[in-house]
Amino acid sequence: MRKSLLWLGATALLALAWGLTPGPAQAQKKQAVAPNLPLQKEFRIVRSMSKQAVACIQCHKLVSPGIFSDWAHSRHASANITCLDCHKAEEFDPDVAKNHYKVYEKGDNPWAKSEYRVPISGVVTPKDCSRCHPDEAKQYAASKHANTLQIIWQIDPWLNLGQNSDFERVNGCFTCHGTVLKVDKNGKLDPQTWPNVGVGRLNLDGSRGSCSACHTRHRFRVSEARKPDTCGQCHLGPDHPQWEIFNESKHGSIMRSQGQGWNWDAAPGTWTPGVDYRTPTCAACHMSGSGPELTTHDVTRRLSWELQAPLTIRPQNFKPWPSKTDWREERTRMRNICLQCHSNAWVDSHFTHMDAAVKEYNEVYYLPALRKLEELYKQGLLPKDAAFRAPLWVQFYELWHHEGRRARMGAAMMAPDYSWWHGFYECKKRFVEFMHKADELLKNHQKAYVAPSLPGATGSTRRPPQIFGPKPK
Amino acid sequence: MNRSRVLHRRLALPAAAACLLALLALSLAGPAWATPYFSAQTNKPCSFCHESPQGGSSLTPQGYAFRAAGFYLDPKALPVAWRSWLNLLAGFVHIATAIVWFGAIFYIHLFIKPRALVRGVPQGERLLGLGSIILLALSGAVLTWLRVPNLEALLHTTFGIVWMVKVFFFLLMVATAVLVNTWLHRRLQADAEAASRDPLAQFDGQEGRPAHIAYSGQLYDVGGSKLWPGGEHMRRHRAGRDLTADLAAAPHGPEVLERLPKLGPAPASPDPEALGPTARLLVVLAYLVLGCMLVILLCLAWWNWGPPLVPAAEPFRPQLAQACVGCHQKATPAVHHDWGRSAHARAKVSCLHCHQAGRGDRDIDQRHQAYFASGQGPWAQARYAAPVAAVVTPRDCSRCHLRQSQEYARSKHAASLSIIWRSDPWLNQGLSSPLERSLGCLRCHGSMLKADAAGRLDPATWPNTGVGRVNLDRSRGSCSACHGRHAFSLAQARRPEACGVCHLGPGHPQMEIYAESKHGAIYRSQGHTWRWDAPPETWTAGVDYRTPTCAACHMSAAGRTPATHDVGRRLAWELQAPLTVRPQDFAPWPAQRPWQQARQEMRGVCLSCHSPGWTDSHFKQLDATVREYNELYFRPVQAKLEVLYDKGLLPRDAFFHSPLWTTYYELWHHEGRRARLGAAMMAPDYAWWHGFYELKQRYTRFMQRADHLLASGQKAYLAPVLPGAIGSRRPPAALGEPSRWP
Repeated sequence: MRKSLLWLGATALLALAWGLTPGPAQAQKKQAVAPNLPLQKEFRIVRSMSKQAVACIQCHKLVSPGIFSDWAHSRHASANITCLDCHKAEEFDPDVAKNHYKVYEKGDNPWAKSEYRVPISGVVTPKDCSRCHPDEAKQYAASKHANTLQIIWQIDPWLNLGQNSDFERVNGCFTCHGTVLKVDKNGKLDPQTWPNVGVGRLNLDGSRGSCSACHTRHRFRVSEARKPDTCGQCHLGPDHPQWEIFNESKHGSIMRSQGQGWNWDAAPGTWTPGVDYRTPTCAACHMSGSGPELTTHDVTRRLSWELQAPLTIRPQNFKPWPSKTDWREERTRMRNICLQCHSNAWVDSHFTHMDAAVKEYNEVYYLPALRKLEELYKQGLLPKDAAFRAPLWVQFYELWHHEGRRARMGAAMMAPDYSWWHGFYECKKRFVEFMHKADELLKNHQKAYVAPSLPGATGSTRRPPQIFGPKPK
Repeated sequence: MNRSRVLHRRLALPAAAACLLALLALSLAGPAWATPYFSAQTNKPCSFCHESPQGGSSLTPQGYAFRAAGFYLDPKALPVAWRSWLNLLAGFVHIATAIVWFGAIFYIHLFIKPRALVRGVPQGERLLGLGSIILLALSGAVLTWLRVPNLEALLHTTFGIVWMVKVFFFLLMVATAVLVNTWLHRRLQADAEAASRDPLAQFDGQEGRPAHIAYSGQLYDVGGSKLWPGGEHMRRHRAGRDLTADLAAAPHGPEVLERLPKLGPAPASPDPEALGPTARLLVVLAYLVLGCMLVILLCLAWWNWGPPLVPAAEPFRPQLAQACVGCHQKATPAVHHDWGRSAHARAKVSCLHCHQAGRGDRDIDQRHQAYFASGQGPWAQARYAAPVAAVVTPRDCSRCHLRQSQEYARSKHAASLSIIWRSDPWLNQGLSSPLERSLGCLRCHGSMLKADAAGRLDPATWPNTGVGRVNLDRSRGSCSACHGRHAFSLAQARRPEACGVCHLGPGHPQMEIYAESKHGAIYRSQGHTWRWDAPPETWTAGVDYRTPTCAACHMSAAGRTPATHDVGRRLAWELQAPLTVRPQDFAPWPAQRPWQQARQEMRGVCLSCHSPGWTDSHFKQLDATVREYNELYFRPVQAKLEVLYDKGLLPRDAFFHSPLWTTYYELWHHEGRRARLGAAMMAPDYAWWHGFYELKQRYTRFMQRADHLLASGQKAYLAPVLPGAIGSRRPPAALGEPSRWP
């Protein structure tokens, strides 16, 4: 009797267990609605993280799995650096994400609870990064990169004459040069200024720039910043084709064909030419430590010319952002880099070539064209404020801004196709066209054509007060 | 006992015939082409296409339609609501009527016996038969109309063949019924009348006539009996008849007759058991009807459980594929090796699975056919002969990749040849030469394939793997445009270079834009470490790749956004159009869904890696940029162009003859697209320097020239001749209207 009762009980339990197990149909249904979440492993948090940090990770694993996976693969994750270490803000910070507070009230998942509430900011600035990377942040802050928005506001006719629209600036200029971040009273970032990771972005905490311009979130991988493609996000195109020039140079060509075997992940400060890589990339020459030179995040160092300027000048003479060091000092630094792989004679001859190219550009192309333009101004044939409304003025602009840069940078980085075909060859054509038209106008005393209006010439001409102070200079 | 034995004997013949037919059918059935993959993809049971619930061999009409449509699941082949309800109604009427009618027939055969009807078929029986025939014919016609799509489906399917047998026997039954109810019925009545002329019959006690009965040859008078009022006994037996048989079944014996006056010997009456020729015909016809009925029931059983009578398709013979591989290993080693490394080869998908043509296809390579007869090599033998076509179309691929083919078929990709014929002046104004078209436009947009009688492809249309190619089987596109033959690598299609084959250059530089964006930059520097060959629909942001490629955003599954081969599905703007419009307003190919749905899907992709704030702000910037392009650049220039047209300074049909018009064209087609696409994919260099910066120059040049013409009343320069403007202006007739999927 007891035995049979035992059997009955066991059978009943089995039946119950079987009934509770989801059948194939149920399992299939579950699968059908399951999102395409990353197939990550279980993230077991056994280290000393605050419960708020755990909540960030667990919740974002669901709502933005790409971000979570990217971070989980990063050195930050290995070093126990959590979301909060970078994103935590103070309640009174202007960029604190007020919308994010609402998440903690929703209670729609186990992590959306008020006990995990913490003020955070969507924007992480160099100031946040400087908590752990103080030297890098300091060097970056002193560079032309961090101050690039200030620089263009001082010299660029598009901005200063208001000849392009705000959206053209956001989609173009400011994507690389950076926006002046703004929030509304709800802590929501102004869509006119965000998303943006420009190197010269002016942040709400007063810092300048964005580390994720080069070290993309949320992996922040050193190997990535060492590759030319990272710099090529901005240093490319008709007017500053450093990336294309590098690709066409011997350095670039070898990197494209051999680079996949190099040690891109060497520890910071140990990346060694010949050992970890065969030919340099942008970073290797302009930033990485090499021989006697120490690594720097100030990309302005090691430059002995302002090759992008209309008239090529020495960095200490570049008015918008004059260098604090003498160009000879920087030339020596760059020379030390070259000497890791090249002989003295080779290096010195290269600099001789380059200096000659720069001088030739200045004397043979730029200055004669500039003098002709000034003559047109003097004779009243071209108003000074016409700028892009005058096709003739655009010719002059493209002579230095497009072809002139290509010729000079092509020479500096030894890319013959850019130096000649895209550079001096085009310079000659442009020069002849410009001179022909200008001489014709001067001869007939005819006014240059000036378009009555330029579409989209609606942008503000007011320099951002956050940089230049309340009164425009 | 005796009765059931008779029944057995009667059923034995049809049963034996059925078994014989079944054996015959089994020997006819061939191996199947289709795979369980279809069923998984279409969510339909095997029996949706196959007559056998286990799948394989002969097809149902739906299966036939599915195959005829190039292995597409044509929604028209699916029952829609009203069809289903009509089907149910007609089916119910049909089966209910059949049960009643057949039941009546069975009842007659089993219990009443046909010979009981020799005096004429009763009125009720006749009405039942007639009504049943009408109802069965009507409901059967409705059922057939609902189920059989075309004559082929009737002639080449088991269902159709059995249907024809069934209808034949039904018609035989109808003919019999007509015969029985008309001519035979009249004859039987006449016979009955003759029988009623039996001398005894007039002594029936009715209307004052004497009432006599006969028993065992003796005549008795029952007129005086109280038990025979009005010539009837117990309201059952009537006078004027021979009651010998009836008395045998009565509760009393013949002793009761002794009380009746005996009138002497009864007159000779016709033998009721002896049947006349008409009655005999009736009995024969009754058994014929029973036979027909059994055959019809057999047909019903055959539909449900019977073996197939028709093999499904051209049988696939693996030894033929061995011949292909064996020969092409030497003839085209690169094709062989490419295939050998592919997932197809691992899954034993051979040359023939894709290249075998149907008998009578227009693109069968006749020279290849002739090779089998040439004997030039171990594989050049007639027994390896299989009809093959060089061109593999999305229809061929859809045999296994059904969903992908359907999505592709409704995409802008597949329609891209139609779209340019509807919108592009180079084509519809005949301004480019056929050669220029086939080298340029049609390389990507696809050619209209043509073949001569020998199956040789017209060199003007082939080689071509354009996404919008119109194939000889009327399908559109080419899967190998993105999945290069013969490796058909998934990884290849996930990389931007696959898209960049066409989406590049001054007019649509999506490739360059992507390459310059942050996504592209990270792809180039890190992409070699990513997992490119994750199985379909599991390729996951953050896990398998860090930044998306073209495919990741526009096609792959991400978050809750499902994977699709309809590349336009997630687009909220037509950024390539002169005036940027929403996809549903794009006249040459209006989208079927509102743009908000597309935007939601794309947003879902972004949210895998970006916050809602970031994503929504990006879309706000994009929308504002698009509006700015429309209002500040395109519309003013178009308005100016209209003024030039109206003043007669520029003919409306000048197009590329006029450098001024070309300036207008490049404004939207070159710089305008670069500005918009650059903004959409966050490539600042393209949005500004190649885009808006160039737009401003172009705008100024165009306006300067146009204003000059308007001020001076001078006509715009028109080139007298445009070289190569010799192309046809008319879209190829065969282009027709692209089939749309809902």
